[in-house]
Amino acid sequence: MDFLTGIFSPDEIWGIEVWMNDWFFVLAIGFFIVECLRYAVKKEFTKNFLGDSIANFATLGLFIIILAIVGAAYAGVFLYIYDNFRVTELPLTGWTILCCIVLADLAYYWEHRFLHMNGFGWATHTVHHSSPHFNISVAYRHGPMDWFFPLFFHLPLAILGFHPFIIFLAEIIVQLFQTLLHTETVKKLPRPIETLFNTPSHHRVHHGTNKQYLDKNYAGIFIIWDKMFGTFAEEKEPVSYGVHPQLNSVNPLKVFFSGYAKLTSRLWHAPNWGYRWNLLTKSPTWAWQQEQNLKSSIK
Amino acid sequence: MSLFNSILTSFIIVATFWGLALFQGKIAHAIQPQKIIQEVQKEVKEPSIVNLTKAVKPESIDITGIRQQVELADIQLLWQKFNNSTKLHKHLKYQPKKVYVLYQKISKDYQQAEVTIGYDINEMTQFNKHYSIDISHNSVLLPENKYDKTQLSDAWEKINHQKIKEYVLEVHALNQQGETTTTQVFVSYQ
Repeated sequence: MDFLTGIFSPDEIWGIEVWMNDWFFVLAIGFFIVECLRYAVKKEFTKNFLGDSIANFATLGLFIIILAIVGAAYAGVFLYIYDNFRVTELPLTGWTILCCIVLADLAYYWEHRFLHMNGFGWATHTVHHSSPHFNISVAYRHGPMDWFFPLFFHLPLAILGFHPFIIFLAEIIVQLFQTLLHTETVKKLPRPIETLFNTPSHHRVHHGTNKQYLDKNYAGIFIIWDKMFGTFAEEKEPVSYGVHPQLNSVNPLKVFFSGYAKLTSRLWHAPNWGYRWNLLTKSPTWAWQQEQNLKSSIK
Repeated sequence: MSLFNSILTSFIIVATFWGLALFQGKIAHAIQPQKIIQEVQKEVKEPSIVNLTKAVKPESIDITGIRQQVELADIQLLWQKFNNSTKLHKHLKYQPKKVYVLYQKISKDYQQAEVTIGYDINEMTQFNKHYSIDISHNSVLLPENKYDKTQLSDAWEKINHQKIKEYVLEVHALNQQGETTTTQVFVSYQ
């Protein structure tokens, strides 16, 4: 109970964030090594797997460079909004942190769903989905604008009176939980956990290109959001990972900029402005279907 | 569930968890006046003839926190020590409303003092040492308002140097994030 009622200072919360971020990366690397050994034993440790994993960590490096440039501005927007537009002041307690984690997880669900539902968001998020493999390193496969969209979905929490450092901590906790889901090592967890929480099984479905798995399981920590809002799918058949069309590259730069390169190319070759507008605002599935229709009409 | 209903449900969930976060503040605020009433009732029961004004306005404050003899130029180091004192902060019942800075044994050249930075013991679940401050005869150096560092240090020039000082007391009112909103400064002479 002390955790729920004890008062934290903003510095303490910041310290927890830094500590979690750093040590979790060490843990993730350890887990990735275990995954590599498992694939080696199963004789599935291929040259492509190695190249893809290196590309994943390289995109993380590129993403960190972008974060170093925009990070202060990102935090500054939260602090400015909190200082000038908050409607209440919530105390810096464990209870506030718990409430914020639930709300940040809900915000994550909607942000994630948004990224899948329009061309502009998908152009950055497609990087994360473009790997044909599924392991911890894929969790670190970032697109260039991955920092941009969370801003709009989490900023309302600052207006509600959650201190920005608590919001950042909640965002990190959701993100770290998500990271652990990127694995084929864990099959199914006990039923109560599979019912309430997002699990590796549920997240494998999210990365699937199988028709019944498309645009499903957007959750961060709690899978109940998907179950409530009708976007849930159970893992029933083996998942084939990646995107339509497959990227087929382990070049980190090509991987990192693939989404916006593809979007720019589609916009350039679009037949009219209405089509361009649809490319930005409609689901990427729409763009893919248009291209398939065009191909079949040419044949 | 349709997209509209999903968004509507999300707003209800947000309102619920925001309410839960706000509710803890209500409990915290509700606890304190009750405690004060209990303290006042205790005081009222003791003497046979009661001066009610005494019960309403306390004559002393008991604080607990960090105490150290310091060079006043290095006061920030003591603030750092206070801010890093997780043991002290873990025993707060709720977000504190005030932080007290008590200057005693002030040297004649105003270079050194024994400084205590702490909270009212009524805001703590437990504490080791506490220090009593007699506030019945103090005078106001700065009324409650928002001041910068220069204005706070200028207030010390208003001290009557002919008299022997017992203490100088800064009372910082805090918001929910622990940031100072207003400050009062008092001086007490022997």
